[in-house]
Amino acid sequence: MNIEEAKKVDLKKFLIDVQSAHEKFNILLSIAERPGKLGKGDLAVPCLIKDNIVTIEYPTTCASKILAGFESPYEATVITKLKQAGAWVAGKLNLDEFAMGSSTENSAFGATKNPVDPTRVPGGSSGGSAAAVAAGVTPFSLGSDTGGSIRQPAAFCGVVGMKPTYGRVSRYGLVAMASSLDQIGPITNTVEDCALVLKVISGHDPLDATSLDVPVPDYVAEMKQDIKGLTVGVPKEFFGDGVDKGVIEKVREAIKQLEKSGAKIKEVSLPNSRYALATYYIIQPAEVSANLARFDGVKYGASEGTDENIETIEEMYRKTRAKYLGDEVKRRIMLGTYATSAGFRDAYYDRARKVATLIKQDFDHAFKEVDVLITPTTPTTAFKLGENSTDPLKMYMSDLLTVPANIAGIPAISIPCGQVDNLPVGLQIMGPQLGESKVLQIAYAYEQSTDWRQL
Amino acid sequence: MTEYIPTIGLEIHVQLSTKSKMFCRCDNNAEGKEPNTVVCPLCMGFPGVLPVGNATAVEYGVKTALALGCAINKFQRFDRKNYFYPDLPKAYQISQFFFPVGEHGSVAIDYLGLDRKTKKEFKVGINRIHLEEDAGKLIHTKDATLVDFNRCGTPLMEIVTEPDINSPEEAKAFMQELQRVVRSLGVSFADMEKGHLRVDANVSVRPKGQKELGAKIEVKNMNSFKFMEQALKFEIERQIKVLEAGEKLQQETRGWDSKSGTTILQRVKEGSIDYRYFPEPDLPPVVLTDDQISQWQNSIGLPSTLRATAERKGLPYSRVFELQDKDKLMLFVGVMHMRVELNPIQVANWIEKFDNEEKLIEFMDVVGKHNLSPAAAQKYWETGQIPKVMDEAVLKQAVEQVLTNNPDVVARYKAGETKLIGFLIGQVIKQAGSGADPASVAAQLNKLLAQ
Repeated sequence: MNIEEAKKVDLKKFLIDVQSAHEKFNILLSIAERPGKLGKGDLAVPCLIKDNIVTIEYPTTCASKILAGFESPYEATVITKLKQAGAWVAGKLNLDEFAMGSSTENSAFGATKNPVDPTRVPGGSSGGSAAAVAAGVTPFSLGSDTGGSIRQPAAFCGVVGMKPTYGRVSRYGLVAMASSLDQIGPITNTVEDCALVLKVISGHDPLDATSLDVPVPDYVAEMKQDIKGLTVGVPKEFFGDGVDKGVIEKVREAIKQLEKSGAKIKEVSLPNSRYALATYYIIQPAEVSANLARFDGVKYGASEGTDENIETIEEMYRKTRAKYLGDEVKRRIMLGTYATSAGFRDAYYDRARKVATLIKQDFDHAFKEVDVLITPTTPTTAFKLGENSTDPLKMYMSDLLTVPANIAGIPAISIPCGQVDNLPVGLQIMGPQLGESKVLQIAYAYEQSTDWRQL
Repeated sequence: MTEYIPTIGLEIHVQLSTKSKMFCRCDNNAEGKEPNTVVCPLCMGFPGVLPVGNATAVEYGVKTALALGCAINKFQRFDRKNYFYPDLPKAYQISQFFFPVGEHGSVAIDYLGLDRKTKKEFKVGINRIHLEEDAGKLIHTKDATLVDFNRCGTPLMEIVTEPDINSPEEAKAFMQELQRVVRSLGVSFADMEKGHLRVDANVSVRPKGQKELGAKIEVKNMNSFKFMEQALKFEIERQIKVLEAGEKLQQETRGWDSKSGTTILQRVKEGSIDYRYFPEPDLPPVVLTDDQISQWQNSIGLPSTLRATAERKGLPYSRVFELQDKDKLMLFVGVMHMRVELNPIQVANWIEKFDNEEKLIEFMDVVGKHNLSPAAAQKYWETGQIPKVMDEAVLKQAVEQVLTNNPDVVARYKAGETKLIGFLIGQVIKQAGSGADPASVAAQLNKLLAQ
């Protein structure tokens, strides 16, 4: 169901379809009890939102026991913008706890299944968001992307997912995981829908000091320009070890297709991007360790504070956080605490910041020669539920190709580009800072020249 | 007995008087408000909130740093200081660690000695000034500890001095000068009793001749100038006694207890806490231009400059301080600027009664023109009428008239009834009309009666 079709959808039927998809794939964390109202505007359709974006109408749990039933006293800027464009937020979608994971198996409320193959993961952390769109029950959803959390599940589920330029979309009301990397973005069935939703949620927000005060272009109009003369860069480092041959094959085919459509193809090098994942696993946990410290059982959320046997405040903190936070969250809090501790900060956090600058510079150089960069979104197609859940390092590898865009702060989209063994393959297109239009333009041209999106 | 030298360094928190809080739009004045009524999701650290920096707080910080002679960091950044405490809702405080507002400052302090005459001077180095947000307050009741988040996010300026202060008297002089500075800059109400101005001191003593400083002991809970002076005096004496008894001092934190008039051990320091500072990713760095800084620099008027000017205008230092205490120094300097010929002492004598330059000058002009005695000037101040000064000849005539009219009284007076002078004075005043002051009438009478 695309946005145009959804404008005519019966909201009662919409809710029933969402419920039945939820029964099959466990996509929801909350849902409206009865049909709501659509407003007027470009986006007068129902939609579903990742449950780490705060809403007044529904609890915001971040798929964590520590926020079970938590009601936010305010709503995120993106929610307000969606409403102003006519959308009705019908419910909240499953994710890895606090967006930490690549399979949605870290949700405290059960894993989401991939609608393409329910024995497989939908990816993560925006697994619920990608699965809901792939199941055909919502025209679009919002996800959040810190290291690939929109693009990787979009690739696994065979839908379109975009992480905008850092600062393009307000983060106000997104429960922070790693503040310097997080971005909210759309997950849709088509590139055109992606452009439409992106236009609505983008723009400067005085409530987010990192949001960019730059006018929002008409992405839909700009996207439809001819790609003749544009140069597509192919960074060789993204086609190397650890990336499945089948995946590489499909992406190479897509590149050929773009060449046929008039794009120039050029091989480029991003030598420092091989350090991106290591860098990411320092910076991200460091920020996590501070961002999640507020869940301490004092103000809101679950607490062991009423336990009569607890004598000190430290004991209350320990017991609350031990009981209500999941393993992956704890792992990252510990990693981040270590990486920022006195005596270790120089070797880890400070060094990672320097490497991040080098990675960014690689991209700056590349974008002097090419308009966009094309790579696979993920090294593999969707893996089996349980396959990687006991091996965090294997799980982290899933973000190998998506993390560089977050570190560089640049826009990146994942669109379907075929299948390997009946499982969708994602094509990643990255652009320079605020180069959303070019990214969408290439994505749209490719999409129009193929019929993979029909599958 | 060995002579000991005390060394004191201060850590001061100044609450800034901005309209809104440091990172949200909440009212920055929570004084007297019900607990947890001056709060929002942001200052209470709700999930998903983001801080937005208060530009006025940065301006106030820079102005203060300039006033304290600091080098200004044109590139400033906020950092997260991580620790768990129930009054800190985000479990990190947004502060400036790596790039504070200002560093390497120095302030020359002059103050009036205890004899209320001598001008004393010393210098204090400023290690750093940085901006940060305040935490909430814990309220301990019998059954529970409650949290009031009203104060959360109030903009604070932390000023750390070098250990350049050598007596409680100097510490007090520094704090009082700092209070005057921030008040004259308009950046803080700086009321110590209300907690706008909070000070902790690091105190050590060492025998004269010894280079290394003694064990550093932190003294807290000094919430008035008086308590600070008392606490420091007590602490220095206590440390000397311990050393004299052959014992050793260790690094610790003590609190001033005003009831007993002593400092009480709070905790022994076991290494420093690791706050895991790292850059606050939610706030872009603050970048200042030279123009902005010099504009702020030019807008600053300092109390020490005012005092020096008043002294140059001829006012003794003790009176400079007196006028400063009465908040009349600015008026004094203004008047003396406009009318250089005025007598500074006379202006100082009258200044308390005026609050604007024009009125005071007008008054001083009348006093000067009519050559009014202090008593006459006072009369003029009270009545608004210029007291008539009796012409010498008119007075003489009136006296002669009275003496001629009362020959028997004059005879009795001359015979020894000297108290009759009172009657005669009365008669002269009656004759001459008001304006004749008793003293000059008496003088004239005595002169003529003696002939």
